[in-house]
Amino acid sequence: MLELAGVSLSFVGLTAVAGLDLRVADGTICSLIGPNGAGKTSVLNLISRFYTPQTGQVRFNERDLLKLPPHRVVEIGIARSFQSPTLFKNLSVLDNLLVGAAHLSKPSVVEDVLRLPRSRQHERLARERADHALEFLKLEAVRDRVAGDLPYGHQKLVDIGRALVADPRLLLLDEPAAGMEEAQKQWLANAIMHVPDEYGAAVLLVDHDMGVVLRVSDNVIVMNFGSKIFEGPPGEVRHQPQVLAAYLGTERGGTVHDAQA
Amino acid sequence: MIRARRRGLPWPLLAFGFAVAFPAAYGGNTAIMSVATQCLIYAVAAASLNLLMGYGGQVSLGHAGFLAAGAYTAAVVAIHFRLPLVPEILAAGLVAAAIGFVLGLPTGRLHGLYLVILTLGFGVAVPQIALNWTGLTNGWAGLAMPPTTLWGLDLTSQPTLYYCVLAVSWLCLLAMLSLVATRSGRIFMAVRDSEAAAMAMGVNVWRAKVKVFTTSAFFCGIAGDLLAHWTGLVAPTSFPFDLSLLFFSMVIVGGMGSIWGSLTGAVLLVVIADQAASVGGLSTAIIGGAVVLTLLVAPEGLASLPRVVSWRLRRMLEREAPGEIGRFRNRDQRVRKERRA
Ligand SMILES: Nc1ncnc2c1ncn2[C@@H]1O[C@H](COP(=O)(O)OP(=O)(O)O)[C@@H](O)[C@H]1O
Ligand SMILES: [Mg+2]
Repeated sequence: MLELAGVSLSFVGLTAVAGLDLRVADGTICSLIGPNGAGKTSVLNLISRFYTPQTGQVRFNERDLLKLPPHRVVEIGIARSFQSPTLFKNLSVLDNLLVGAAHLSKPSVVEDVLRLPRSRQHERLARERADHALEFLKLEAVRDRVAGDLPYGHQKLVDIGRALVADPRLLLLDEPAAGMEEAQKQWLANAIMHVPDEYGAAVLLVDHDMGVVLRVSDNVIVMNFGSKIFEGPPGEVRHQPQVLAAYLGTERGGTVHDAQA
Repeated sequence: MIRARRRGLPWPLLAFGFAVAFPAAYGGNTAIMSVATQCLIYAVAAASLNLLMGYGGQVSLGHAGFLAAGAYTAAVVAIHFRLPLVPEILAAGLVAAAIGFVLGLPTGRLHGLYLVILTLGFGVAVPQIALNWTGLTNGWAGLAMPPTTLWGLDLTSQPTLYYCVLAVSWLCLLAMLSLVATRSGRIFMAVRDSEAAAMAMGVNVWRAKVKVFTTSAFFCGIAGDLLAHWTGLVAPTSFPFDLSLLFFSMVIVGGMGSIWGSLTGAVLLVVIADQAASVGGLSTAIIGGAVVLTLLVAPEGLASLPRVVSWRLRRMLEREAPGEIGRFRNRDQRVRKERRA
């Protein structure tokens, strides 16, 4: 479904992504892990067209993503959350989620002012999807709160919910569990696991938390210095010496779980 | 900037009832009816600017230019084409909207200060153009509105004019409210709060900005049409830079991102200006003072006062807000207090 081939991205004097190949299959959860600065966020920014790679191809369902402007990416089925939650901070949680549905139908300003059928249809559909996301992410209690006033963890959830409302085929999540307490992380991992069934979307997950990653993933890709250093099922990751080296910066023994501790 | 679901008194309905009943008390006093009419017209202009600033996150220091476009369109259409009132109002709105569209085109690249300068230049240029385009505008002397009737009623007499303006302005305010409660308005606010997130959700940011400019200009053009009927004369001197600044002040005092706040701000500042008009410069000073006071006391404007006051009261009554999130906030405050101690 999603396919990156030989993708490289450099900023002035710095290579963020170096010849990366990456595939995410329909309805699966693929995790992208690696130390800070490995280039994970850059990969997501490439897919959502915030950045343009110097070389390589990015395809989604046989379409050339690089030909699309950033605001068309969600239309073909890719929605994302941000590493630091980037909400519409003065809007309520509900309104944030409703914006997620903005691309699903597009009544004009006149239709919205006069509440013509297309406008009412859009509002109804958006509300349905938003209500579903509120329930899925247990955000009902903060529905009418101003998003910018919420604690960090809740903001991350709203960010994810907004992407889910957009009805994606592929969901990009950038460190969704960061800053959460252990119990919340477990709950979130569970929710992410249910995204393919519940929403029919594959997930490309970037996270630091090894517990979450190993639990939810079908496939794990480890990056360091912009390149892929390992790819395989979660069961194999923790025993790979080069992965341990990347995480610990040494050849010391142990598993990735220790690296987290 | 916050759109909370309101409980309690239906203020808009009460205000409308008050506005409808108003002439029963003062209908005979043309001076008072004239000020009341002005309040409504300026409320539409201020609300239209609020759409741009409070909801769209853009700036304009030249909204009097759109008002002028609407007023001149009204006069030209009324004199040359003798259109009935409703098509005339729409024409005024559409001409202003077309200008707003063109002015909005550079917003993709222009931000902040540059946009201030662009709109400022526009606002200052319009009266100059009107002054020099004598064939259309009759230059310095201006255009006198021909007597207009609506369903046989004479629009130049009060309180007929007042009621007509009340109907049109209330429809405009309701239209803007409807807009900001639906997808279009949410997109404007989304772009205001985060262009990156809006883009990721499929919003063409530049188009949204052009749209908010166009829509804002449309409603301001309608206010201009009403203004032409109210003054009876459309001349270049009717649209000074001060007027743009006054609309700006009304938005600040009433509260960015609140349509009803703009109505409140407009009524307040029009009445102040009227009361202080006999002393030169006094009204400008008072209005300037009102803006500063608002920014110091209630930065979100008069519209936020009920919410702020009720929040303060609740904090006084409850030691700890209920729920996990409330505790967060209180804990933060406790930490701050301890540090200060
Ligand atoms: N917009 C940018 N401009 C310059 N350098 C950037 C930019 N974005 C990311 N980088 C650099 O690219 C590298 C990879 O960053 P990033 O993709 O954020 O890593 P990760 O998400 O894995 O922590 C880092 O060295 C970072 O400083
Ligand atoms: Mg990152």
